[in-house]
Formats: sequence, structure tokens, C-alpha cells
Amino acid sequence: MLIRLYRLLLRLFPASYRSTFSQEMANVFQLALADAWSRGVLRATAFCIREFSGLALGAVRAQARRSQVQEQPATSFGPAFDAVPTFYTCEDYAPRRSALFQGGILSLAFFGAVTAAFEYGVNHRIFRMPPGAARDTAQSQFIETGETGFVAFGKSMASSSDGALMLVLGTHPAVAAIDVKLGAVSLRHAWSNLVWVLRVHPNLRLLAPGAFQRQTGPSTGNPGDFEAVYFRASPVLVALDADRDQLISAGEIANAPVVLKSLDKNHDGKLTAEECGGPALPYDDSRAFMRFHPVLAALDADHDGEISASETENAPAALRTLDRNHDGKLTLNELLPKLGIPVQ
Amino acid sequence: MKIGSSSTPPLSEPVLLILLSLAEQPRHGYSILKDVEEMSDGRVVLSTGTLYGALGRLLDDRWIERFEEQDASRDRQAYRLTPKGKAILQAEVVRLRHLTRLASLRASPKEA
Repeated sequence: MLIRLYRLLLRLFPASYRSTFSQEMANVFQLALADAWSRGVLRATAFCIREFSGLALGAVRAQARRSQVQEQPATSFGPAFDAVPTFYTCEDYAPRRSALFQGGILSLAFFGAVTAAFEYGVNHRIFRMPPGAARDTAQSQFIETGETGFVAFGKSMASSSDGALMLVLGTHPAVAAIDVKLGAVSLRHAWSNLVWVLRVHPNLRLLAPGAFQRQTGPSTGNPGDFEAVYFRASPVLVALDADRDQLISAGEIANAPVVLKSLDKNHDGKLTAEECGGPALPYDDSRAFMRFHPVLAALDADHDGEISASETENAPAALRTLDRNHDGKLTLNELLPKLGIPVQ
Repeated sequence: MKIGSSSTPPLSEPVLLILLSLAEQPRHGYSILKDVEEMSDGRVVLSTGTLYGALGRLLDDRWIERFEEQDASRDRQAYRLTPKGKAILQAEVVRLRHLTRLASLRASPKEA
């Protein structure tokens, strides 16, 4: 596809230039592209940017050269002023102003197209690291958001600096800290005093709870203990985990319909996102909120953003679908949002 | 254009490197691209647009000439220096040598 695009852009050159060089240029581009790919994705990306911008500039120069209208003697490089450098070129002519203007527009259009293509590539994982690369560093410490959605993090994972909330995300230089006010994460709302919910953008890497505990030393229980924080954060989990042992036993699963009904504050027979611990949200955000948390997503079987009376009655069966190891109980790992890689 | 006189503007680095590459032996486009990158330790990396723009100008000025490689497995055009190109390159080398000598005299640390 790149070669086809390259051949297409060659049409920007004058016909005489094309007839002499186009086939040769395409052959050289093909060889150089293969060489760049063999050196890795980043090299290939840099190569493509350099090639296509060089091609656009080359086309402008070739067109300007063809129209050589303002012949000027080779010696007339203009007066040299003190402290002003004189620029030399191999050209013995000056391009027409209209050619410069058209070239500027062409360059801007090309720059925009390359930027848009790059943005598209980033969002569609074209330039992503291949599976398995940097596995030891990335996979063990980070969870990765695959799409726009919500993510929860303990309040102890955030710190405040000069009034701006800084979210500690990991040790990787690129994501060491992000200013919530300015960065790729926008603070959506607080889920509770203990767990915050953020709306995140695709491909953002966040420090996994386990890695955070490894980084900050042994768990101190409260509030650094993510497991305890997590189970206290959602009213649904608080209700389900009646004995506060940070797991939902078989008995607690069977008793789910009763405890869920106790959360129905307005007694309308269904549980809204707000009754499940979320703030008042627009419809789409409400559905996204209910999809984010695995327990809520399982209970809201039809994904309409509410847990209906029939879904409440069917809660035990829905919760059992989360029991991945079939041991009859639900532990933290089975209740964490799926954001990419499993959390240790 | 008078060769080797002050009327010949200094060559740009890419053009000088292309001429130096061809001074060693005739080359085709990809070979010039790689040789320039190697000579400059990766500092000067030419795009094909830049390379063929320069080659076009050098052909127009008759500093280089184009010919078909006879021993190539497929039709491939190669480039070599003309006598005029060799003379210009030689003049540029003399100019640079003069500049280098001057720089070493003026810019080197003087003994107290």
C-alpha cells in the first residue's frame, strides 16, 4: 500500500522528471522500505515520514525548477551583512513566488495527511509493540486500557501537589505521573471516598494494584491494602461480602437477591447506577459505568444500565459466571475490571 | 560556470557526499543512499526525493552521467562522475582543505 501511495505521489513531479526517474525511485523506495522494516517499527515509521515529506518537497523543487523564470547570475547571492549568515544553494535560479506559495500549501496538506495517518495508526494499534516484547517490564507492572472506559484506583494511589491532583501510574518514564487536569486522563467523578473512577482514553497504561503494592512495600492493611479498599468501595460488593472477608462465598452468592434488594432505596424494584454506588450519570455514561465493574456487568445482563427485578432474582447464576476457577467463590482477581492483562 | 573559482558556490553537504560516493566508483541510487549514510555515520540520511532531486540537478549540470549497468540482473541505471564533476569535486576538496588548514591555524590553542 505504501508503494502504491509512493507511486501516486510521484505524479506530483513534472512529466519529464517522471519519465526519467519514477521507476528508479520506486525501486529504490521499495528496497529502502524493506531495509527500514527489518530494523523495527519505529525505524520504518521514521523512514515513511522522511520519505513522504521528502517526496513532497522534491516535487515542489522539481516543479519550481521546471518553471525557471527568474534567472539570476550565479554570483548574485545578495549582499552579506554583518552577523547575518549568507545561505548558498546549488541552484542558479530563484523559484517563482507563486510556486513557493503553492509549495507551502502542498506541504501543509501533506503534513496534515501524514499526521492524520499517524494518529489513525496509533489509535488502531498499528504502531503498537508486538506481543511478548518488553513482557517482563510492561506486563508485570501495568494494566492497559484497550478502549475508552472507566478505571478505578485507590485514593492512596493519588497525591496532591500544589492543588493539582497527581496520579502515580508507574515507574515507566513515559507514564511516571500524569496531571489529571492536563493529561490523557480526565477526572470523571469520585466513586466513593476510597476509590476514584476515571474516564480513560484508549491505550493508556496504568499501574496495576499489585504492582503498586510491590512498589510501595508490603501492604499496610488500611487504606493501602487495595483488596480491602476495593471491597469497601462499591455498595454492591459491601452488601454481597456480608462477613467482610474480601471474598464472596457460595453462601453469599446464593443470598445475593436478598442483599441486592436492600440497596433499592426508592423501592421501584430495580437498581440504578446511582444505587450501585455511582453518581447521577447521563444514560450512556450510566451504561458504561455498569459495564465497567464485572459484578455490575454480570448482574445487568441486558446491559441497559439498570439491574431489573428479574435480574436481581437471577443474581446467583449471573455471579457464578464470574467464577473462572470454579471454586464456588469470587476473589479479588475475579472481580477486577478487565483492562488488558491479569493482575497478580 | 568557471570551475574552481570563487564563482562556484560551496557545495551543500548532501551534494558533496553524493559526489564523494560516486568518486569511488559508479553506483546506482540505492547504493548512493546507503553509502552517504555510512560515510556520514548516519548523520545524513537522504530520502529518495532529495537524492533524485540532487541527481537531476547534477545531470542537468553535467557533473554526473547516467548509464545502464551491464552486469546487473535487471535493468538498472547507474551514475558516475564526468570529468567536469571530478574537477568540481577536486576544487571543493582544495577549498575545504584550505579552510581546514586555516581553522587549525586560527582556532587551535596557542602556546603561552
